[in-house]
Amino acid sequence: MLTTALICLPLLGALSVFLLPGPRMWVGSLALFFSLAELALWVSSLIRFDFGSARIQFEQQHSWISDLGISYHVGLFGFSLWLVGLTVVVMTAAIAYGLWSGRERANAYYALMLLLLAAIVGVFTAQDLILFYVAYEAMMIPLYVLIGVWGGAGRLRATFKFVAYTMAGSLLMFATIVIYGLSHGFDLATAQQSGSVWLFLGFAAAFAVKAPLFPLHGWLADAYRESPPEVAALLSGVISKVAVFGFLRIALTQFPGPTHDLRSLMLALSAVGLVYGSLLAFRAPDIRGVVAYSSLAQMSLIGLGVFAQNELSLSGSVLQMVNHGLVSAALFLLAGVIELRTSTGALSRLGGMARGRPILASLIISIGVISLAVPGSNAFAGEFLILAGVFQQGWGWAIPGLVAMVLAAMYMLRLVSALLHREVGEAVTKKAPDVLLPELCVIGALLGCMLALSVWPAAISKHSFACLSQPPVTSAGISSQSKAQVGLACVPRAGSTTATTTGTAK
Amino acid sequence: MSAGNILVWIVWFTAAAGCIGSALAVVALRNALFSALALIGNLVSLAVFYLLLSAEFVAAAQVLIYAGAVMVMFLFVIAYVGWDLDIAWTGGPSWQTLGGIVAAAALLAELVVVIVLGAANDLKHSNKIAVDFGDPASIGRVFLSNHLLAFEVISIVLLVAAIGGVILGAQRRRERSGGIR
Amino acid sequence: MIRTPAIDWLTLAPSLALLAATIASLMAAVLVPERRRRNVSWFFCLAGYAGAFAAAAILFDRSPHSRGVIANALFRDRYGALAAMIVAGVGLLTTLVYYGERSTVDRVGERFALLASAGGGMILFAQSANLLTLFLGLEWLSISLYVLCALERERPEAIEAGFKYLIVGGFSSAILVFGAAFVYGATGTLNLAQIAGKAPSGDLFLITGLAMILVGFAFKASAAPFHTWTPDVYQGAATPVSGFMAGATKAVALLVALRVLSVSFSAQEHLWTSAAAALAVTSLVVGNLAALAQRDLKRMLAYSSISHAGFLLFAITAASSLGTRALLYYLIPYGAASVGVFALAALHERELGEPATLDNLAGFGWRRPLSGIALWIFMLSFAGFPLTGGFVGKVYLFAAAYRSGWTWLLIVGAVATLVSLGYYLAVVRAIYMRPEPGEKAAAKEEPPLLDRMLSTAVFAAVIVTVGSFFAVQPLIDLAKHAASQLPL
Repeated sequence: MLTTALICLPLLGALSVFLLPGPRMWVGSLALFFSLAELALWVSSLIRFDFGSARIQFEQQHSWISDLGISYHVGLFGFSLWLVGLTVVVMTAAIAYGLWSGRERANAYYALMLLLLAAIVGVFTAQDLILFYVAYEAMMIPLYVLIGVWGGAGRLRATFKFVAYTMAGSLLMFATIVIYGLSHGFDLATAQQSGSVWLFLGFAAAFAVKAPLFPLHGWLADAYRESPPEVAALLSGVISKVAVFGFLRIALTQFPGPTHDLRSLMLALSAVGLVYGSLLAFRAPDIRGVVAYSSLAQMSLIGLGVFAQNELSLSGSVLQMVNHGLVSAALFLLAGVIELRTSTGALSRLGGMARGRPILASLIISIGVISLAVPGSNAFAGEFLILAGVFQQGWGWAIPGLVAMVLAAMYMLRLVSALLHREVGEAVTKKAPDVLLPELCVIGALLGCMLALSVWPAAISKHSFACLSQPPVTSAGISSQSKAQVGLACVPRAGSTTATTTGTAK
Repeated sequence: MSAGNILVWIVWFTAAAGCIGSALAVVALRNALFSALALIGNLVSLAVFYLLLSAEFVAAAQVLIYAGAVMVMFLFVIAYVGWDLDIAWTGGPSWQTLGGIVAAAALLAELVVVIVLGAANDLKHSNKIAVDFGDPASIGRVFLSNHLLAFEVISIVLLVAAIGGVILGAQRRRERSGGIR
Repeated sequence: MIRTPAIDWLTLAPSLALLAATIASLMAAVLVPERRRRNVSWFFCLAGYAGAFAAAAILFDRSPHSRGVIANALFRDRYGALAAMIVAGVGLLTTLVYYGERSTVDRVGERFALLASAGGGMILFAQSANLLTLFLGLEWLSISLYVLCALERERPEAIEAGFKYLIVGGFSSAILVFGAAFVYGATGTLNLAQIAGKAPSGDLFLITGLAMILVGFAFKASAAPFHTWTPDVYQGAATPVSGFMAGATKAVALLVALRVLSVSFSAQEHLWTSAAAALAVTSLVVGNLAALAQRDLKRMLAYSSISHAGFLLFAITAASSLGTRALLYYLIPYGAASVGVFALAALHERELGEPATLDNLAGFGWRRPLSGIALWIFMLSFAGFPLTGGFVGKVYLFAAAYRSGWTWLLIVGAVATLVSLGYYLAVVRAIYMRPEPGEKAAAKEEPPLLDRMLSTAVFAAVIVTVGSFFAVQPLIDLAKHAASQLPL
């Protein structure tokens, strides 16, 4: 019931926000209220969640398209709980930011934001492939309009690219789901695993576009640049995580064979994307470009962790997904804050903003430092876990990761210095104020989450995959398989939870 | 082949030529009045076919009702509305026209082949036909038993067609006198 | 003494209700004074469709077993009854939309009479159990529609539309009759159930007849390459009538096609499934690519309906019980969305006094928020997006195609859906993202009642479109019961 409530509350909110008349502030506050209520609901589910159990929790199942064995089946695992939490937090921040910046056509705007929230939560909780696809596509409906209506000057081109790329992937996935579901079962808890490389690629293509992974990132820069800042924050902070979640929940668990066979390919793509994204971020001419391409790099790093497929790298990936979600959301909101004052994001026209703006400077520096994974930060914990896991997989794969960490430091410091230091840019006027209280509240809250995770990263890394913490049952037959199959047999397969038939990493 | 058989063939070919020729004329003639007259020729040659098929009653009905009554009404309507409606032929032989001709030729060839292959044997001997085949009583019986519903539905279809004719005709008349209105 | 066959009045009831409505509307055109005429004949038409729907529902309930009635002229079964319900539902909504059509001031009684009569013909067509009634039903509905199309004489396109429809429609009927004659020649029977097994499965006459009958149906369902009349007719006809043709005529043509093929030509299944696959692919390619180039909303929707014919042909290609269920299911949200979207096009036309195009739709979504959302929902349903019944229908169709071994059709379908987003989202882009032209914002105010009828229809269409995504089970049960009566 709780899971359904998590999905339905924003839907209800969307409906009431759209239909109730009222001034802009009032409508926005109502939307904020609904997202805060959702946050409270998530916290209550966090409290009631049993992290020791590898079973699916808060499960609910109803027959839906009974004819084809498709059901409404939702529930939460440890890692999906954290991703839902990330979604709710970032969405609350985004709505609060939207409320503060006073979006036109408030009813439609907030209704779409809440609809988007419901869809994302739906993706993270769906336990049926068709339901998963429904939520996955339902995200596109509000996103298309959010970017197309409230976006920047080049928004129509951006939406076209965005839709063309992502829909090409997801329609391929749709056909794949139908084929897979009819031959193996639609319900993820009971579906049989498949050894078909083609079906695996059908899923992988959709997720690789959405994440995005190199070379399917063509839509990324336009969409991130032309969206309103808070939508860009959602896109890079949350929606890219949906794709990784898809890899984790579907591609890896249902296709152990193809994942194993194609691991080198996926790792190679991730590695290339990691370095390439970092380089692009280093060369990007504007704030959003830097953040967008750093997002590409980070998603590739997470992809590296996911495909390395062992205990360390998987928990590190989940932790890093949350970290990056918070960081990039905060950075996009900061970009919005700066663009609001200077009406440009071009680094060449900015600079010297630290002078007289201590709060802005502290926010940018602290978030920037977290994002380049300074030891002690949550991002450091995540990246360290991922790279440690990848190292186990093969030390060669860790090299791009290390290179990228150096590059990350370079592009982040370039961004910080271009914004805050150097001489005052032409677009920066004296009058441009420091970060105001509402902005501080929103971004500060995100920063607070990051700091909390810096203090206790194990909250996520140790509480994502319950089966990993259970004593592994090693059997000769299974340990002869690739050691990297670790964890996956018990990640989401509710049917086989008791038998954690996995080998250890070492 | 007996003399009677040869006579049948001659009649058949004449009727067939008349049928196709008059059908072409219906489409090709510019003047609606002539088209209608050609249609009468078409209906009459069809009636000849019915006669050859031993369906005397149908043939008679065809001549009396269609070639007679219906066509007279037709002619009345044309005379009433006017037959000088020359609609200019605007299109030249576009690719669509050519494609249409090719498709029609292909269809014709196919049908000829099918009929020759499928029915050549049947044409070599005459079928035994029941005595009451095609007489009014048996036709009436079929209409009132096996095809009762169809018989009734035809009246509905004709009713709808009549409504359509009245509406469109009346509109056309009003348009013609539209200047005065 | 001739023994006339027993008449099963319940089977006839849906079409009789509409026939009665036709005659009542006609009478009203003569007997009722001018100022009340529109309301009275409109009411008769509405009542006719409502009665037909109710009668079809009762017929559905009371026909657990399929059997031929009235000397095997009609099937009394749930398949036909469900088809009748779809037709009556679409007709009911169309009647609501048609009420406010401006040109109905002229010859108003006859218009509603013809609208009712078209529905009656469709229902008879859907129930027909022999080739003769099938042809007569087809003519009944076609002639009504020819006249309905040609009625809009204020616009020159309408005359062209009516004329083109008449010629092409007559041509396709002729082909169908020719095919029926071949089939009769091969088997000596007109009865659909008896055709199967009367001739060897490779009989040349039978196969030629099958091919020509298939072509006749393809014309009526506007599947490419027999679609060329569709854009002109949809554009030229009165907008609600276009919606009716898209929602009901296509549905009935495909349903009857599936029935004839499965009942009479089960031995030739390998032939007609391949033919249906070819038609499906052609329709998807032609419909989608041509729709991308359209600016006129109605023309675009016409091409979109051609591409939908392609999707619906998946069900015939599948030739399975699942395919039948998929077809029946798909038609429900599709019919509703068709009427709804043409209703909104009509609304926009009446407001502007000119045809709806993607350009003059700019700002529509903000000017009329609820109508904008409705249009959005219909577009998403056409594109098979989730949260609309179109999605469930598409899942069904794809599943049916896959189960019958047509995996490559799924890929074609996915690519076609992607292309179709190009024009469906163009509408969404037009109504929300294009700047609103200033002077058109002050659109003419409409009489409130007129609006209310149309809004009711749109609202009902939205409910069906969205409802068929959430409340799936009752519709599945309907489709299941109906599909179980076809020999597939």
